[in-house]
Amino acid sequence: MNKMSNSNRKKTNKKGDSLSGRKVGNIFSSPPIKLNWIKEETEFYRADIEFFGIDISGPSYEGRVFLNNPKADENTGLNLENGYAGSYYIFGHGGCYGDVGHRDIKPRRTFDSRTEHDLTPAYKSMIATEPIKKILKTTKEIVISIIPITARSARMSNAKDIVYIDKIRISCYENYSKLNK
Amino acid sequence: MSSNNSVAIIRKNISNYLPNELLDFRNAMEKFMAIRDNRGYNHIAGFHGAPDFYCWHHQRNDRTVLRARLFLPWHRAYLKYLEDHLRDSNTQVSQPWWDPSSPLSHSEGIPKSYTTRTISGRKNPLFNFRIFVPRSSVEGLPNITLDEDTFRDPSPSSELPEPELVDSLYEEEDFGIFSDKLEDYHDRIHVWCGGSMADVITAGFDPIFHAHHCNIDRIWWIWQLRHGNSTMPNNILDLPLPPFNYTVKDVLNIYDLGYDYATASAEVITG
Repeated sequence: MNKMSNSNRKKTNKKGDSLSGRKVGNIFSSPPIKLNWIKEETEFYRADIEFFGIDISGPSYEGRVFLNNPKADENTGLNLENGYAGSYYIFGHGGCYGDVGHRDIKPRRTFDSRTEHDLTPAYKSMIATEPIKKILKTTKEIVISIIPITARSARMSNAKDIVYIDKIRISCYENYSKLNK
Repeated sequence: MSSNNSVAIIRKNISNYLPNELLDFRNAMEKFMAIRDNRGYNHIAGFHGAPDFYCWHHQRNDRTVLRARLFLPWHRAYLKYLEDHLRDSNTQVSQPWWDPSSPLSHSEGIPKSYTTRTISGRKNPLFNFRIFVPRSSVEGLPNITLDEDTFRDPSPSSELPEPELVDSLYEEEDFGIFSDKLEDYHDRIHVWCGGSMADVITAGFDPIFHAHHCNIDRIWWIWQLRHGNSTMPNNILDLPLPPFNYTVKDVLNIYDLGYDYATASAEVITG
């Protein structure tokens, strides 16, 4: 399991904070993720959000991740009250430099272990225990919003459709050390 | 881990460079950048993005057991190859490392040694670089020759990550988890720098790229000293790191590659 740091939740971005000239792309909104397997007695000490198949062919950007906050935008404060779960960062390709076909990613067989195309979509994850526990007090459905904020003056920093993700997974983990007692 | 007794190169913190060290480094970079054949900066920097795109980022092949994470090994090989060619004109120089989470970076952002445009009336080779990647023209297709200066457009230095974030990386015990977290930290610095540094296509040409990546390599090395390499999957150890003549296992020990990291260092010729 790969865990991206959630320490950027400590950032105290106040509403109205400037984006320092960085541009905002279209907000990504996931379908509801249903955590119906969570029972009242279910205990977990850590909850992770994993992002599979993130497109990296476009601009570099920060993806601000909010849970169950459909009004979240680039000015929303980065705190638990607003459902902020953390940010991930993408070092983007910045568009295609090659000729026709250069960026085409050919599908691979499942167990083909050879290395893949350098535009193979990325994987990111973050620990989001507190925001998920907070939400589960009222609902078992989570909608994830991602606010993409591009790097300044990058080749495609004015792009709008930036966030493409194949799959998002939320997993909650029991405290194994406790179970072993 | 073997000892560093035989290490010839000490990579130092750029903020601790003495004026004469900085002068030597700049002079070597100037000569390196002036070479336009396959020994030169333009050619070797081009291994990362345009035109060669050998660079390796994030894990790939997520659907198989391999899930190769070659981000750290590939960039270590790249830095070593580039540094060898930098030292061709002066074996006393090495690449510096830049810590973007340091208190100094939080006050001045990119080091002044890289942001000063001219030094005593001469162009500062650390300020930018003229990328030249020609492409043959094809009738009916756009001209995509790269002929441009690198530039930066950084966000406010207050938005650089705090040192606690780096400290938390050292706590990770598994190579895969550590690698992914360190890469996200690395991505964040590219986003923060903006401009040429924010595009894979051009980032490798900006001189600050290598100081940034030496720091990433340094963090990996410190992590290795603490945790070893036992959690690195065996099935990636023999993977090649093209275009370099290294496999993953060849680059695990930086002493074997002939360098080490230090905050500062000085030596004197005595005989």
